[in-house]
Amino acid sequence: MEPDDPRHPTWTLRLTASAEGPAHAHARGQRFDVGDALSFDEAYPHATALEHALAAAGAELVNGLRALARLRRLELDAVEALVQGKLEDALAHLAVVGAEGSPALRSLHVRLYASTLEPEGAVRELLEQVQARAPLWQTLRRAGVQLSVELKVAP
Amino acid sequence: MSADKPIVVGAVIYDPKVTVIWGIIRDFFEQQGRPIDVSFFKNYELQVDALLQRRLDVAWNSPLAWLDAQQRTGGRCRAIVMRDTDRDRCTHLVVRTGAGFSSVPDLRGKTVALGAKDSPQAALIPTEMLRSFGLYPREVTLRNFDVMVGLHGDHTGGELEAFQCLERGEAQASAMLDLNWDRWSKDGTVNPQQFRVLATSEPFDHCNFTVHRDFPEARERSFREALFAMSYDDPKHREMMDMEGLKAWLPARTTGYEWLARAVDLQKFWEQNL
Repeated sequence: MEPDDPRHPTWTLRLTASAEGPAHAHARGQRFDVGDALSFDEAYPHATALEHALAAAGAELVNGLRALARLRRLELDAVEALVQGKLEDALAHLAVVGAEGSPALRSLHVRLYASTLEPEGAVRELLEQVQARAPLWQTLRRAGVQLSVELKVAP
Repeated sequence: MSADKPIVVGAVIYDPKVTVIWGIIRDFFEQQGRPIDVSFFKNYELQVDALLQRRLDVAWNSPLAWLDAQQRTGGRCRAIVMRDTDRDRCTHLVVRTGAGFSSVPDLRGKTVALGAKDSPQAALIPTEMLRSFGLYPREVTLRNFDVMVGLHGDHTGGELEAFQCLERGEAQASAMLDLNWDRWSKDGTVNPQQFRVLATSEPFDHCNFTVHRDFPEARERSFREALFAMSYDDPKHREMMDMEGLKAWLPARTTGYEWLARAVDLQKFWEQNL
């Protein structure tokens, strides 16, 4: 059997959908639940696929920033992000008659807070590198989603 | 047509969250053993098209969409059910307190801010109110805020922008539905110390469930009975009824659309908006 091209390793997940509840995703030894594609109901009891996607993109940045800071021996006390995504036309997802747009993601804005005594410029440089290495972030950028990051650095 | 075939109900979506309410209503009908399918529309024109093409059995229509359906079918539609809160609504003309206006004719030569041009409560009826006091469009400047035209004022954005225009001093009066005056006075959007109601329109009726005249009586009865089975005293129903803003479903009446029909006619609304 030919080994994988090291540039293109494969990740595999297994998903099972129940009649009423969320889909159960299994990845390696981990399991997590994913709800509907999206929901407008504040009381909907599961994290939706869209929320998972936004969380994943945000997690690339916050986790990536921490990991890279550790490698560079920079100390970050706390890192937090607020992620906001907008669709091109949510009515298209709802199959509303007359909705002509696409339900694709239109924009993703991340407000990122880093608490540190390190120079702000050093943190900004780290964040640029994290974005450049983040698979989802780069995929969204290439797909034309409007991406923006607002970094606040405070001691 | 099978008696068990779901009744297809149309609703216009002025906010994606409205689909949540309709999901609950659909589940309620299912529990009653009277299933419905719900189709969503981006505007009322498309919904009325679907009703007339028999792609819908029942349409949840704005008062203007009701008139549209009647006009386009030569009066061959029927209004079957409405909310208690759809009856006897009225429009207020709001002015700044202390601005020196004591009656509607004092607005002669002034600017009145209105909602979207197809809003019964915030454009068509208030224009008719002004006309009834002798203030024809040439004697008063009407400034429309055409937010989400096609939704017949369901989206309150135009009505709110009209009030904000009054607030900025760019208009001397603005029009709003009584329910919005009540709500905005309570939530702080409107300061009732700084603004007051100058005049109130004659009462008029709002939305209704509309069917084509040949909609089978048995299916109509089934639909009506399911709605009338909702009780505000039942906690399971109350949440749904609060979301839709009613305490009881009532048989529809059409006498409450006369004011709007006159406004549409005198303002040549259809001729100007076709």
